[in-house]
Amino acid sequence: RQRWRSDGRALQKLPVHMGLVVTEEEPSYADMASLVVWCMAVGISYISVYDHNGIFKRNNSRLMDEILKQQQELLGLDCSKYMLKFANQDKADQVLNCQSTLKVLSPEDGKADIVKAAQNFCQLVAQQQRTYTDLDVNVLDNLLSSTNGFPDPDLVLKFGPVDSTLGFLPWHIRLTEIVSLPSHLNISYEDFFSALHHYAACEQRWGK
Amino acid sequence: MSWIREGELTIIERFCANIIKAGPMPKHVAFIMDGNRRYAQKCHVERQQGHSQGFEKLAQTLRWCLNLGIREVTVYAFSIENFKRSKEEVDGLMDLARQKFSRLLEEQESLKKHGVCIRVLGDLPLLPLDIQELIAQAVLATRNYNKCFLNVCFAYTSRHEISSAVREMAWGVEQGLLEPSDVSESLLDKCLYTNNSPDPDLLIRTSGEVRLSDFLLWQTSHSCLVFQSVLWPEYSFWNLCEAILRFQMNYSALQKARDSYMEERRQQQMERDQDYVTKKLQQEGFASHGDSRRRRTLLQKCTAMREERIQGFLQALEHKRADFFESLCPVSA
Repeated sequence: RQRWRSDGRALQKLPVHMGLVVTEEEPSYADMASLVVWCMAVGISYISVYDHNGIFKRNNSRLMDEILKQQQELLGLDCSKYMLKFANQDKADQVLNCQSTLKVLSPEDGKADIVKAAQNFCQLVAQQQRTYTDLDVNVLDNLLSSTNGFPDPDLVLKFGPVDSTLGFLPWHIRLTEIVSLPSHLNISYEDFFSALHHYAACEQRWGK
Repeated sequence: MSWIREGELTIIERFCANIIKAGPMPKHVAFIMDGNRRYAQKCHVERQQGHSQGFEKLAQTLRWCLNLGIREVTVYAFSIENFKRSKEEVDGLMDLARQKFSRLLEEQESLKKHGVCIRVLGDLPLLPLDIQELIAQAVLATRNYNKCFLNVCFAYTSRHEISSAVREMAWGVEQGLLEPSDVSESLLDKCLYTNNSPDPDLLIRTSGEVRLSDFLLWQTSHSCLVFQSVLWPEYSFWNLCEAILRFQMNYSALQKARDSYMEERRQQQMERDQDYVTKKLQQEGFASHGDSRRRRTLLQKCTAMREERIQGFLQALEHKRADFFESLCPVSA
């Protein structure tokens, strides 16, 4: 299946940061792992995984194991070319030839992170190190930590019957395209790729 | 009334409305009224015409919402990003706003009769002064009406709104009204421009785009999002019903998700409070797991003091905002 990279190149535009949001109650580690590996294979640099119950986050290692397994299975000997860096730890792991970075997120990375940033800023104000007029959109953006190093998601693939983002990174999704798919269970590469295709075709006017 | 079309539903519409109303109904609907320019192109008319038609459709949609018992509507009329458009288009939109707000002020009797409370949300100082004045008049004239609520987001983006809310809390700290530890999700809620409204139950975006474009990002985290391909000036009663049906299909899942989120939030606040009390007791030299009555008393005291601070701060914020509008209307009636 060497076509992954060429599939990615064939698209007019590829998301830089893809969010995989599961709204179904029972997430599947195997299917999510496939999705993550396809994202990597196709050339997406930043991947985030989210479910509103925080199940993936709590069972981070199980997901990682599944991903490593899928990586081997799907990419075989080419594995080393598609090295995936797991960005959930605070320590910066130096991984060479890293193509993609993965974060596993939950609701605490959304509003709660904004509140944390607000508290930190207010602490500085209380200590008279900052004044309230210092705070603008850019300053607040820089104070957020849940997606350190990641650009805002360009595209979210939302799986499941619920028509909502269920708390996924509210601040960061201001311009994100939200493509809905019925389920992540037994998802096929074809379905995944056609969603990417849909994204590639959309026109973004940026308010102009 | 120019902002809300007069008229009742047709027999068929009323029939469908009655069926829909048998299920749960959204109390607050938000609209991203997208597609005016594509509509103008399609009909080979000027962009300005597209925007005018868009306004007419808004008036009609508000009427449908009232007919359906939906008493609060929020619309995205003008984004801060829209200032990037050509001067011609921006001036045209500002003129449309001048026209519509002036007209609104001429219809005060009607507004009173229908009890319409108009709120305008956004970074209003970015707008031409005369429009700010018109807006202030409209907002002050209708602020006590409560039969239905129309929130117009004008010179608005969600990120600006959230930043402004955080700035207000920082102002509160600087004024000595708040402690940094008072900052919480629920306090931030109360500092947004939308603090007098419940979160929208349903967000509808027309014209086929599937993004939020910096609109109510905080408030719609658990709302039903419906993306419809129809262009805004062509929106119909049936499109609205379709969106409400989607809301109904999502109702229990969203209720469940919202409830568990609120429960989680409550738990975390409780944990934070317990940690605070533990620290306080340690500072005062008591064993942290000692006297549970002492813990309880201290917890109650801290919570009560925090509540008092927050009430004082919110009152001050309310005054600041009222002052802003009143300063724009030097000649009071």
